[in-house]
Amino acid sequence: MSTRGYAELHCLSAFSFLRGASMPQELVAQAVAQGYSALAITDECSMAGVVRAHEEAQKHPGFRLIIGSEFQLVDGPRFVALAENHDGYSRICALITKARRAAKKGAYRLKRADVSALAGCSILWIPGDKPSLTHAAWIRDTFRDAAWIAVELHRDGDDSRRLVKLQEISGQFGLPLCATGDVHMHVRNRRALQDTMTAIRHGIPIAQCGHRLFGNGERHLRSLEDLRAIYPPELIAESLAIADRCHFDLGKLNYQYPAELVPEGHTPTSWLKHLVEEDGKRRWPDGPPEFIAKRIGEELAIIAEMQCEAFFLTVHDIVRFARSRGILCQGRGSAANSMVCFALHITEVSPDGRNKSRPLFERFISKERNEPPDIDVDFEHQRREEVIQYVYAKYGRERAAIAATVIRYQPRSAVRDVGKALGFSLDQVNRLSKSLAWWDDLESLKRRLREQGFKPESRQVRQLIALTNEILGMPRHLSQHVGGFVISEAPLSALVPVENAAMPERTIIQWDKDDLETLRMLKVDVLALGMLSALRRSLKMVSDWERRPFALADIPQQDTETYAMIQRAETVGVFQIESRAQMSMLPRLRPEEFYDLVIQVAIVRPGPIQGDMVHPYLRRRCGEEAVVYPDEKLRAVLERTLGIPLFQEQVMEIAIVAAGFTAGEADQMRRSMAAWKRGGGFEHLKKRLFDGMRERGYTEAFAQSIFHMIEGFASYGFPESHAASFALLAYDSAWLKRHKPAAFIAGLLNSQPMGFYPPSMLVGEARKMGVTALPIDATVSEWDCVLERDDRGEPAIRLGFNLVSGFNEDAASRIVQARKERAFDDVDDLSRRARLNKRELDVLAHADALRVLAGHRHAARWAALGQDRAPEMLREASRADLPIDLPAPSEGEEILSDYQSARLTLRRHPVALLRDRLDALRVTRNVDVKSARDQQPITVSGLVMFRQRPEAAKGVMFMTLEDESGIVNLIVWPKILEAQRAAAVGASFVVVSGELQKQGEVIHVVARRIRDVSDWIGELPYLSRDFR
Amino acid sequence: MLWLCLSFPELPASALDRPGAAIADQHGSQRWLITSSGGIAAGTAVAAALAVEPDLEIHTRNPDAEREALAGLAHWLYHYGSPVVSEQIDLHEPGRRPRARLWVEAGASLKLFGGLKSLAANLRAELQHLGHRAQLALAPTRAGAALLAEASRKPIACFDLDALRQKLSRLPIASLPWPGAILDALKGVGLRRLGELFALPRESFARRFGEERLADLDRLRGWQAEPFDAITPPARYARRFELSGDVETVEPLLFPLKRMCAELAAYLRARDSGAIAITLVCTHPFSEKTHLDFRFLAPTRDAARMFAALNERLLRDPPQRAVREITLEADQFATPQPLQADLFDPLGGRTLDWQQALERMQARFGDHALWTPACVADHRPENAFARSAPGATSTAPPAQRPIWLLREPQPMSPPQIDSDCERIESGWWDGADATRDYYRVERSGGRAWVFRDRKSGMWFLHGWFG
Repeated sequence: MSTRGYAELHCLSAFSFLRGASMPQELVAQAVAQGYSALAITDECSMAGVVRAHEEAQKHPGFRLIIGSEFQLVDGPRFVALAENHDGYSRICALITKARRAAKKGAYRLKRADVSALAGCSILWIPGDKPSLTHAAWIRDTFRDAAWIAVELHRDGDDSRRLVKLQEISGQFGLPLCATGDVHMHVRNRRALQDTMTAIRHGIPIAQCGHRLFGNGERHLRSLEDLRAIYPPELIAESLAIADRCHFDLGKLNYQYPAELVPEGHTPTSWLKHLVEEDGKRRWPDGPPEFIAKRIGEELAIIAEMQCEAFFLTVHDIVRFARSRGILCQGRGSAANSMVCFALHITEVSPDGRNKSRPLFERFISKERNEPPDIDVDFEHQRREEVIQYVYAKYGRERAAIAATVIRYQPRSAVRDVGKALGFSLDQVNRLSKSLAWWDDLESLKRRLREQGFKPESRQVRQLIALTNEILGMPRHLSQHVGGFVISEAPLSALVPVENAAMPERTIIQWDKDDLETLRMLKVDVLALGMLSALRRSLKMVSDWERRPFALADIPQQDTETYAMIQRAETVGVFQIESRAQMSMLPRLRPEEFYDLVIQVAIVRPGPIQGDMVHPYLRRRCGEEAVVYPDEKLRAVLERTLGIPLFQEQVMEIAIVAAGFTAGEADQMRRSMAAWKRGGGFEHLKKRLFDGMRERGYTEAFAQSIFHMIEGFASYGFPESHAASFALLAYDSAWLKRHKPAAFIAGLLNSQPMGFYPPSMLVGEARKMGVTALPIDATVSEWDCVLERDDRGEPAIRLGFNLVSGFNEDAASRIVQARKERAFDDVDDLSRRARLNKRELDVLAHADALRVLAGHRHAARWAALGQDRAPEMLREASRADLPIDLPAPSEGEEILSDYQSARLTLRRHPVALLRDRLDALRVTRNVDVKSARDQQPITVSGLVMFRQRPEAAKGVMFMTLEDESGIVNLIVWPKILEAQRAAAVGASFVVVSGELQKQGEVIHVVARRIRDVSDWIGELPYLSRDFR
Repeated sequence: MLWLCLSFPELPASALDRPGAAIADQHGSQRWLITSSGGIAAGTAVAAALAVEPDLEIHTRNPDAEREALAGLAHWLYHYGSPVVSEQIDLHEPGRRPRARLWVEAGASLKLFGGLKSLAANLRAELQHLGHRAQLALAPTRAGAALLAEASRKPIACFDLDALRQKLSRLPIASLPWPGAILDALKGVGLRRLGELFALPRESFARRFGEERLADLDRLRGWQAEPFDAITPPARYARRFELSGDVETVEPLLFPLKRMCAELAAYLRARDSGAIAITLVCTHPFSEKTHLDFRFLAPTRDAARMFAALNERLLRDPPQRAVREITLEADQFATPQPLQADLFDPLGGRTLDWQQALERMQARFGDHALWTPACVADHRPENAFARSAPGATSTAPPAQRPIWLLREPQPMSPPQIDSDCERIESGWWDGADATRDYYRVERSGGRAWVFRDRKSGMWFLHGWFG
């Protein structure tokens, strides 16, 4: 018996938020190391941590993981329920669901009356400090012979008396005793973290926690030796006996894919084949070419073998629904490697190997991996909710739910919570988390602490740093995943507990997407993409304007003018290639064909940048460096990217070609690298990679460089297939911008918020392209921006009410409706017939939209404010309103109000008004910057539109300034940034001296001195969008 | 009537005894300064202030302290005339500061002090003594006087309504303590100064901004009466002061105490009265309180004497626990006799009360000889026993503790163990992490409480049971 060790049956993980101080996988690994034969994870009313524990337990054959949960009843005892079998597990899930659904997000509520006998479960009663006989009786009466008394001895000086007391109760009620540990951490030295979590949970400093803290660190996975010294052997034996009753294995969860998508007379396999043939007719009207038909056949065979047809059928069904409603959608990610997905119209880029790319089906789905595929589909962001509602309606709320996202401690939240727990004052905590400004990482903490007047050497600060490090990444609470749906044949609550989300009418399951993947459950990502909304709107406007249907398919491919525009980096608004970083790359890369766009989309990413791939590729492309290949075999893999690997697929192929991996193994390597953050385990693959390459005659240095690259790709890698899907949208949007600029920009304006640029810059771009922009006007505008004929007969953009902050769509439609009857006479008429309240009228007046009806802004607002709220019949009796003469606003005031109300102006740029003052400072206009010489000292100015500090740029901050003539990009080196932080980080209008840096057509000003002149622009709103 | 208005723009700072400090108010997630500090103006967002001045120390306002400070000042002002009226306007809108105003009818005082200039100088001097600063203005309407006082650091005086209207007309609209939405609307129609508001047709104005705002304007210019509730000092005096943190020593208590005595003296002077007894209440963590009662041998209103007495008392008998706030109370008053007897004259033949007896015992036996044991919620035994003033509340320790705990554990040789182990691992946060296994053992005829230090493995005797 003693050789069997011990079974710990009461153990909380960090998923009992702010109670357990160890991750489930740490607990399992430590239990194994201590020689336990079993461990139960019994988080408080939760199953959120069990899949991670299960994953870890898989690595230790013979070790038994028991699944259970701890409950504290509001009117009674605390107990632990352990699942003996699938049935018992389902009952625990149902009980958790009941308790969670009865309380607000994050809490649970359970009364004695809610609990009946839990068949298939072993129950451990956890008596408190003063065991209650009433509770003992209730436990016995409710659970009968499936209940035990948990004896938890923690060396608190009273162990033997407690044991005697519980033995008495045991005899009195016929409840057997067993040994358990009330484990809160895997090792003793998590004690400080556990105390800290207790303090955070209670919201008071640790020093004031007193007896809320545990008196010692005994609540860890103690050694067998310790346990045997504390517990009588029969209690330990009893725990092992209970463990023997618990056979439930999470890996054998009885999960089934939904079945309704397969009509009678068909198997999932035959139905999927049928759909591929049917839908494929639109792709290949004359039937698919032979090599494609062959690939489809191969893919279908693998899909059938892996029995994951349901994934394809489900996504197909959702996509079909979206198309039937005119909602644009497109598959993204690795699914674009699949010919079946292309045939089903889930993805749009044919993985047929034309366009240079080499699709790798194994990247999408592989037998070795034995995991279901990941199919992500983007939908128009403003209509995604319709798709979500469709899924709920189709499968029912019992069978479809949204996956959870585990919110973990980030540096900022960690410093705040730990700081408060250690007794730093609120003000100090604020300064501490300030010292972690939005771009700082923990590494720079010490330096910033010193700057903020803290001593990093002091005990309190050292404890803060150590505990912050320890708590980083620990789960804090569950939240809703952006769009990951899980769908099941049977009700979900029998598989996993369901709880309330913050959004009403939304429920989430307690598992996140990684958990679902581990358990092979069907998960579909219904994602939102703003560009799809914008494209649909633009296409509709083109169709309406030209009075002919115009769809994405009507956009001609390989348009020279479009590529010429892209090469000039005139890509404001274009999908994916509009950012400052992308724009500075475009003139160097000079994309000429579709595959160049695929590269362009993928290259400005942390992955290739960290892997040092960007500059070698650029040099080779410009012909500054010879294109060479390690050998002929790799030439085939790397030729399309000039010998430089840029995509995940290529990295995998290198492993296949150069190290002899199978396709499945190569994918496993990529994934285990990506899973690094989840807890390691790729060393053997690393060795295999190096060995394989050595055997095939590659140098150690080359192997190192490949490995370095894989590292870079691990977290940020971009699959080629995904880049191709995005490149397609990039081309389409670029074409629209080049040839239908008014419709394109109007589409973007109507899909805000999205993209990189604010409406003011989008409107500015349209005007630069010769499109007229017309002001918001209550007598002609609609909610959306619309096209109107300008005096040349060309389409002009009439700005819509949707740009007016504080206005609402309903009021806009009332205005449009009333206007259809007849034009408005005056403000009073507008207010009456469109049923606008005083506030709505004032918002319109502030937006200068009543100009035609009431004159200048001051007069219009006076009129708006004077609208009588009295009911119609009393109006006659209301007092006379004497006309008054108000001064017209100045140009500066008008511009200010324009920005306050719509964040843009069609008048002069605010900086234009300040030009005299800027001239006195010898400031160069942004448009003239490009005619300056390289290295020349220069002073520029403008409204700060963007700040960016990309991780790959090693502390450099990029700023974009806008004046009346255009934009200029600044480079702020870390030294300057630190020295002039206030102006660099906080100013909204700056004058910057520095020197010009020219690399071909790419121009930056390297800042030396940044002067904050925000007070020159008074109350203009803060416009800058600040990115990491 | 002629009203003298005192406006206290720095009250949020001076009420916390931090003149010149940056004090912030909060609404939702927005925080902004409500006092100007250094070169940073009140109204600046905290984030913006920190961007300019990263080391700026910012304190959170305490409205209770402000209320109490203003009430104290009102009682003091009573000394200068009556009626005294007090008003606090708190809009709680980001970027705006609270307004604290006192008025006193000043017709009589002006004569007494020979004009505004010398009255102002007098008030200033006394205020400085009390630790506050005010801006002053004199006007025939209360509202008008207040706006003028808030507008300028220099005293302004208007003796008739015409002069007042002229002065008010030049003020910007933003000086009105009106909700931001109304100020924005006024700005939105291009109105900038009060004079422009006065010139608008009354009906049109009221229709847009409400009758109540029109009434405000009318009260400003004296077209409508200004009702008020006059303040009379209460028969019981109590003034609370919240310290900026837990204070362990006496020195930091003295400065606020001095001010409190000055205020009490001013209060007593205003009532032509003296205090017979005063009580200093020290509030400790967990809301425990220590009362230091002080009975004078004769009524007094001498601030210096009251302070000296309390100071002496505190130095001899410092609070045994950290102090969070202090309150000075007085509710027994009598008119002082011209000659005051010596304090603490033991030979004066008057009855010594219990406290004084205790004080004298303490003086005789030493500072810490007299205390009541109390339990504190801390797992470490040496921290769990504290010396506390009588009446302190206690938390029972979770396990049995010896009656007699040694001040310092005594090293000892390893004993025979025959009891349960009590393992204590606690206190890492304050640098005194204890990791010990405690046992009860028979030793020299008694039951001893001993422990083994888990770090060093050494044994110690820590106490005795019975």
